[in-house]
Amino acid sequence: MFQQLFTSLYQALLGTPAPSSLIPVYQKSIFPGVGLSTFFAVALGMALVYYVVLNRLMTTALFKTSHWLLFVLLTALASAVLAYSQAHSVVTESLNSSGVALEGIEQSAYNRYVLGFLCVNALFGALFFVFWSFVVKSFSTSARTTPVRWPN
Amino acid sequence: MAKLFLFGIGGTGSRVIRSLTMLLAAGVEIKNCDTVVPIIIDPDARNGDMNRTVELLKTYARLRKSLEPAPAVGDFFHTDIKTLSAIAQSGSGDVKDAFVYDFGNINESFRDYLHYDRMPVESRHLVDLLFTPENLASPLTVGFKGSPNVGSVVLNGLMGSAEIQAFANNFNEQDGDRVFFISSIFGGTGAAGFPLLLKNLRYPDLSGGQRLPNEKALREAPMGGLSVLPYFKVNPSAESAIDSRFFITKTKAALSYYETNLRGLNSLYYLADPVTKSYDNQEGGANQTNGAHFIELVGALAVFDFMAHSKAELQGQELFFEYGLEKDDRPVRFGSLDADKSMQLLGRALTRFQLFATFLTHGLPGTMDAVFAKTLQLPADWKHDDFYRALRELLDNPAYGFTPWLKELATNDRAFAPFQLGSADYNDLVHGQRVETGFFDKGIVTNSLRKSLDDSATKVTHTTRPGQFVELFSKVMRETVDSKIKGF
Amino acid sequence: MISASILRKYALLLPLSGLAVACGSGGEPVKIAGGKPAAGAPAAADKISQINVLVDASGGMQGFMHANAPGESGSNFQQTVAALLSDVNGQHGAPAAYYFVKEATGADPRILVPTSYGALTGAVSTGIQKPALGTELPLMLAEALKLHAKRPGTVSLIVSDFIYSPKNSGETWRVKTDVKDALATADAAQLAVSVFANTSAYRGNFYPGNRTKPQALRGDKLPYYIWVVGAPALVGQVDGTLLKRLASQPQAHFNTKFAPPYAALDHFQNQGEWYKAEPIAGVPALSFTKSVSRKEPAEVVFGLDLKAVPAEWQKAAAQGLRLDAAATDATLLRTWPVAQEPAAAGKPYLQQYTHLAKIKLGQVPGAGALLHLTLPRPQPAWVAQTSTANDSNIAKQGPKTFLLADVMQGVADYFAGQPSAQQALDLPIRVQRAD
Repeated sequence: MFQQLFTSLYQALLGTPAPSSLIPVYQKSIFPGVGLSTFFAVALGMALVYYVVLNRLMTTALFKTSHWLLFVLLTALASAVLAYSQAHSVVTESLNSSGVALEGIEQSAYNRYVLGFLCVNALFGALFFVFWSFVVKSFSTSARTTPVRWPN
Repeated sequence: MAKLFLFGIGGTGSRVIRSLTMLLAAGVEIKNCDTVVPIIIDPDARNGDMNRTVELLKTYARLRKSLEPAPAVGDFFHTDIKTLSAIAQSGSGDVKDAFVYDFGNINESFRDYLHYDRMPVESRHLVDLLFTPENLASPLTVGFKGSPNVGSVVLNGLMGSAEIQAFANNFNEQDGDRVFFISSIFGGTGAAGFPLLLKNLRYPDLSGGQRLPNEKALREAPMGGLSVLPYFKVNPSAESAIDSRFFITKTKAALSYYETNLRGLNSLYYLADPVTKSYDNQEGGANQTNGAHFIELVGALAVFDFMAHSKAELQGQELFFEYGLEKDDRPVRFGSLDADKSMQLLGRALTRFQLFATFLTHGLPGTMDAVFAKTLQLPADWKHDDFYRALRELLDNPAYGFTPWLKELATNDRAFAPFQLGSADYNDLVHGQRVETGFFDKGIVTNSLRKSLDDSATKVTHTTRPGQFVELFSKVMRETVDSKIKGF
Repeated sequence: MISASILRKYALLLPLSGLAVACGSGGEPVKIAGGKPAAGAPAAADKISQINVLVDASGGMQGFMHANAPGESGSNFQQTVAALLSDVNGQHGAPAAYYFVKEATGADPRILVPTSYGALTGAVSTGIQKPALGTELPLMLAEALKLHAKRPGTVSLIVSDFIYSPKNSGETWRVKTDVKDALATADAAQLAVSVFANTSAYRGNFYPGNRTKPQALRGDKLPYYIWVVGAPALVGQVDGTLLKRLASQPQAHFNTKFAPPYAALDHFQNQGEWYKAEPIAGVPALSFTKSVSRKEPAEVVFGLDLKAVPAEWQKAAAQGLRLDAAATDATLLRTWPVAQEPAAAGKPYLQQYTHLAKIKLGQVPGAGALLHLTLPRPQPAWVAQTSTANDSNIAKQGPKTFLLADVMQGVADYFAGQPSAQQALDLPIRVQRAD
């Protein structure tokens, strides 16, 4: 189910993966893997760090909207890094196990697509972070009204 | 709904009421009472001290109106202060809605006030015997300038007023209403007015004056008084009729009168301080603004002490009280006070309020987008809402605000300077009671206060936003002071 | 101060089940009949359940199993068959049974006499104890097939000179019919025959199929054959394992199914948007995205590993590979050996293949299609060369077998109606649209 969901999400913005020989690799492991870890590990993790760790367990002055925006940026960055490294490692592993290496057109197609992928994942990471913000903010002491008061 | 009718007579009365109001703002609990009705008796309509106190009382009342239902006991502003006309329920159409008894601006000289010229010759001779020509010639616009003999005549007229009638009408013995008089013994207005008022209120049938409703209740009600002995001097001045060299003489005269003629008071409090500061010699009027003095603060403590006794304890008694500092310090700190009474009344409450005031000045501007501020809608309300404006006035107004009051207390002699004023370092708030800090614990800082406020912001139960504000800050300041500042 | 940075976590490859779509039959490769897959072909067992070794025990075989003087190496027959028996005995995959083949007599009506490994290999070494007068080839085949009927999954190895001499010498014209009839007891779809030819020194009396007088031979070479009979895939397995040492010998295969490894090479000279999808029931599948069109066709190179396939076929594959397009416009552009591919040197993943076949595809039907890479069955030339109609003077003729051509024709006739027997190799490829 997640495979389909994330595959549709990514392909809606990126199109089918390139080079086309890597389509199964992307659709079966990269999209769901990166999608899930961006959604749960990175975005939720960052949201928890911001709302619960920094603004409930610890006493910091990081409750302002500007700090939250900084975290959105950090999440986008982390998502981009995650996307790139995960795609790279999975594709490399898959190619190594069949003893193949990408050349020429395939290599540049791969580079182009991976670049798009990390940009799109940065965007998704930021959006997921915003989503989790609204879920998690009620658990915060000092940031429950960041960035807006609703729904508290 | 027990009420305390507080008669503040003369300049000293106004100044003690000023200190009392500050303590009530800080949340000091006044037992057996939930509403204080101050009635200031001072014919000098332009008296600087009186006007300051009246402005303060008006601000407090205005502020307190936004806090219905009442804050919990112990929270800031939990005691209500109302004018006589506000609590009057019947026949109060003539009573002005003011804290001051309106003498109607007596513009004439004493001689004209007495209708000297229309007196029969014998009365004129009597008058000449009792009053100096200066007395007779002096205008009454500025009070009685240290002449109780003049004052006692004028103040008698008070008794027929609508205000006194209204007071008597609304005096409810069953509720537990009480009366307290505050005056100085060495002045003019206070020295004269105090025994006069007491006699006329306690025994209206015997005083030969106007009869009052509720006479029986008044006869048996608990009544107390504070009489302040000299605690300051004035600079010698040829233009002024007031000479502080005569303060002691006058005190002795008044005391000997009290000894035989002051009847019916359940508790009498005396206060004095041999240390004296010299003020500018102002006879009265707008320029008579003495800086707040520690004695006035102690005088306010007398009111709390009086109210702390139960009705049964006071019934039929005549008790006398004096005050002693634990340590004869100059300046006075919290450590100079006795630990089980004065310290308990003053220490925590004033510290909480001072922490509150300091936070609002130094910490609030930077935390306007914190959770507590947004929950209370402070960004929108702080500048424009009535309550917050009144609060800011109460705290910062240069004439009658809390912070200037503390400054006056600290620069007077004998000074009362428990706090480090003007500093934004909360850990050093109280002299001699520095908050411990460590690597992990920074003591009291804006962040920790903000976090405590955020934490409690969603737990307040009051129905109005000002009420929530007061509830929240009272709670957080109480917790912070109780847990972090040791030594109370 | 709590240090809090939980920034990156990798959720590595999630186990996901792919799209498991099973369409088409399971197990058996789909038969071709104008490109439409046959429906409901029953799955063949792909595990050998029994190996039967049948050795012809007639007097005419004695000459192969002659006694040897100390130091002699034994005849080719002895060496080969003894090794074969040893391999069969030593393998642990399936139970083995050993039989002598003799004619039915009044005393013992059995054609196949069960024996043990020791007795059989002893007979190979020193000779048959009581040789039969002659064995009838059709009966031998029919009896072997009866054992198959009793136990599906049986593979029989029949060692014989395969000289069939009808009792009535006027009926030699019937040889191929008799052979066909003998085989007809089994269903051609589920039977395969592999024939391995070899020659060995013969010492002793040779009884010609002509029924003329016996000839004494002293070491002249005569042909003998090992037939592997059983289900097509099982025969292919046995050919590649037990009979591996005869790989370079003349062979003929009827309906034997070899399953050479083959796969699409998605990084070698590939064009167009396609990718390798999950194999469907062992059949490689290719998914094509929408961009494939007649104007921009896709090109797919398949690697074929034909090392286990008979050498003759490997040679034939370079020229003879065909593509059955099955309602698509697929064409086979080129077939060439890996050895002739210059780029193969730097690509280790190509080294496992022997041949490459490039297919061009411009249009994929909605429901997908099943293409077949096929190699028509080459006719072994050695059969005609080894066959003779008159083996009376065999010493002068050289190693030949009486009426071999007819016997083989009989087998061929039996399989004539079986479409899968016409193709030596049939490699299906599924093409579908990517979703």
